[in-house]
Amino acid sequence: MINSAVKDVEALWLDQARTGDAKAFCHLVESYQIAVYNLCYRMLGDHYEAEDAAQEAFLRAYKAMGRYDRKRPFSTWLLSIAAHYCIDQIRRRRMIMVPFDKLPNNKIRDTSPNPEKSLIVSEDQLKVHRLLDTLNPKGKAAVVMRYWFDFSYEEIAEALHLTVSAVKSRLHRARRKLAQSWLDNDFQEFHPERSYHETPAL
Amino acid sequence: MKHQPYKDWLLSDELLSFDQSNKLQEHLMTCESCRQLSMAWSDVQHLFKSVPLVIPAVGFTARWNARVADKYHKNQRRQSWWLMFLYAGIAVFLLVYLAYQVTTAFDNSTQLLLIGINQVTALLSFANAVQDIVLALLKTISTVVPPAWWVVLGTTICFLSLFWFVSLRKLIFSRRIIL
Repeated sequence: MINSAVKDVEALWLDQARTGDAKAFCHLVESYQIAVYNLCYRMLGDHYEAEDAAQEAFLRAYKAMGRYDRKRPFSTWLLSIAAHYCIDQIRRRRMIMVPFDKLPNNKIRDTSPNPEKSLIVSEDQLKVHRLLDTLNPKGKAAVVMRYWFDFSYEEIAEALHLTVSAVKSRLHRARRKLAQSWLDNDFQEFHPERSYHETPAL
Repeated sequence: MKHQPYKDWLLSDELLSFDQSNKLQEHLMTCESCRQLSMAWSDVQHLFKSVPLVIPAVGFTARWNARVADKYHKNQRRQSWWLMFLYAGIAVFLLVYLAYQVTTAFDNSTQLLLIGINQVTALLSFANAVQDIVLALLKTISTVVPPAWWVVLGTTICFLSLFWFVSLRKLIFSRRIIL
């Protein structure tokens, strides 16, 4: 019942935003900023770039509200815009070869008060970056959408303008590459805490 | 040792059939590399699930609003510049056209002088005609209307003008009330 009420409110904001109501779109920014920011952060691996990309994704979505198809979930459409922007940014970057052990340890905001736990969390984030960086941009986007946002194959296909079979193939190759990278780079000192965080990012 | 289709199965997202699952388990018991790959993928999945969400810095929406406002102002400035260049272009075109017209006119300056004199003469004739009409009208009215009425009319006009002037002054200059 609460979910349907939330959906009704969101539908109202979407209708108002389509008429150019900036305040209504601000509510959508509040609702989806964490999801979009996380996708951008996983794609780009840097706090400042993720902030810039997330802001730009919302701006593009705001400008394109007139073209938004109500039949599609807004989250899928919005994250698709963010993913495409991030893919473009990755392709524009100059490739600077840096040894793995010299990768910067990006400062990531963590709400945990325990410094030891913060260190572990930062190391985990770095491992995620290193793993995802072994993938090509579209593969990375597919992995992030699948494992952080629980998108179905169809949703990923629609978001990345691919066929479902292409998505399955890319994800399969990505899984193989990630597992092999895990073995090759000797991440095996990592012992994940087996408290399963099943909650998706959305 | 054959590793297919076992590698595909252990990396698959979809549920395996009972038969496939059994065959995979049997293979993993004998194949070290596939077992390591399976454990590696399991560890990667756990890492992805356990790493927490990253929260953007406080004030994300406010920064987005500022970005939208900034883009809007930049668009406005760009449009203003384009309009300015457009008007400047039109002005330059008109100046060039005028200069061309004047230059061709100077080729025949005598004709230009005659045209000018004709225009001035026509204006003076028109003014003369209007003057004649007004004088004739005034003569006619003065014979019809008695002189006393002229005095009354003149006084009324003066009084109304004074009244208008005072009202205007009161409306423009606001009174200051000192307590």
